[in-house]
Amino acid sequence: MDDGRLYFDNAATSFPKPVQVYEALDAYVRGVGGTAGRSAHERAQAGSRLLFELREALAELCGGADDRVVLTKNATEAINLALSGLARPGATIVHGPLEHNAVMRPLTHLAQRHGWTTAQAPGDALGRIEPTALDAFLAQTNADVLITLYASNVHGLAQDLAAIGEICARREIIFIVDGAQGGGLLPLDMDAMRIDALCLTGHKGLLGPTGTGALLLSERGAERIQPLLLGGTGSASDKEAMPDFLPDRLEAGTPNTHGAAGLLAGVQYLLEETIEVAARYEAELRARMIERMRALKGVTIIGDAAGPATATLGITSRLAPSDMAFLLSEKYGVAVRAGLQCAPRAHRTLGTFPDGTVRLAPGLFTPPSAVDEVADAIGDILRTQR
Amino acid sequence: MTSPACALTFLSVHDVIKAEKLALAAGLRARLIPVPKQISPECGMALQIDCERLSKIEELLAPLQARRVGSFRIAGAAFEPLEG
Repeated sequence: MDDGRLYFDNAATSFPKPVQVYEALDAYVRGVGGTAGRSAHERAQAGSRLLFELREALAELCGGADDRVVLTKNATEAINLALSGLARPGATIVHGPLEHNAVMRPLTHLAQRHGWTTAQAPGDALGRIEPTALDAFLAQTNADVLITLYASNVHGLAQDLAAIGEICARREIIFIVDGAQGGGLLPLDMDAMRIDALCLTGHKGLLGPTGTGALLLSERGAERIQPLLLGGTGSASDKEAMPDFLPDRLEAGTPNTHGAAGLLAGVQYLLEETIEVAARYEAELRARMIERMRALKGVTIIGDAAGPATATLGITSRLAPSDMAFLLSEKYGVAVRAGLQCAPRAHRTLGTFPDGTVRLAPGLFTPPSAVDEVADAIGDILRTQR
Repeated sequence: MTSPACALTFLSVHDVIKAEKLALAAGLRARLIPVPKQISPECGMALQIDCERLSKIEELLAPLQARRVGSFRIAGAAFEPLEG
């Protein structure tokens, strides 16, 4: 394996991670080993302290209160918990135009099961929700819940969460955010953005390992939410009903403690380096990619627009995305993701369904020169492949 | 002569660790200890403090008041409930 400089698949999972993440994983598995919240001996206490510190760090990074941070295995679990736990039978749920299947699949399934009505919020040609149009739309829909992603996993552009959150708060609509893309890479403040449920994955912008994630709840969200998983919590063990206090009420089963150790190291890295620095670097990489892609004849950029965004960008060309991805990997060692990226709704919105795009997603450890190498490789392929 | 030991119990592990952190940050002696099941079936851990600093700790932990379960004096292996 190479050093990852041409790994342009950070929207799938970030690589490489900060060295502190590898060290924290190793130190926990090798040196601590206790399971959190299940005992009071030294190793179990170390595990419990670790989860406590992770909740504190996530609340510091994203706003909200540490005792309303629920640890999950990924953003998908957090989204399932938020949707199923916050929306009542017969509810009307509004979603954005760019949602990933992590939202659309639970929404489709649960809508049938609970008699929900679903509707898509109005957006521009790139799927960004327009606040004024949204406000008018919501006046007609009697919505109970609105769910949107933060940044698109297809083209990286972000939704205006502060504006959407203000509208939801004014209309008393529960506001759920899928922060799988953008979390850790763009500023997030769930209090200021009036977010009721912030769904995060640990292994992308938060720089932790796979198998980690979180759901951060507002006070209103915490009062209302029902559990998704039921089982042992290490607390209230004399009762066969779930505890009525957070975070235990929503966290059944042995937690992924060593994963939490890695995620804590990733979040601490971001707190030290600051989100502002991360966001600025993502913007620099994005600008460089757009400049280089614009110079390539026969390449169409999906997401070429100003505004807050991650370094994720889509492109299309006369080659099928899967062919381009194969050639980039085989001939140049470039790792990208082709196709629909689990987001058929987004590709329908963007007019790139069913073939999809080639997704270029450098990360915080990608050197700017790697963008040039990838652009040169795409240019070579388009010149030589007939 | 050292102060006798008291123990405070909380709803969750998260709460008892937060209580320990608040106490230590204020320069007070505090540590996590296992509690007998008959005292608390909740999180299995209690915060041990010096009884003479109980009122100071109570004041410090006011934000966690709703998450408190009990207060005890530790006498050997026994936990005796404190009045009030």
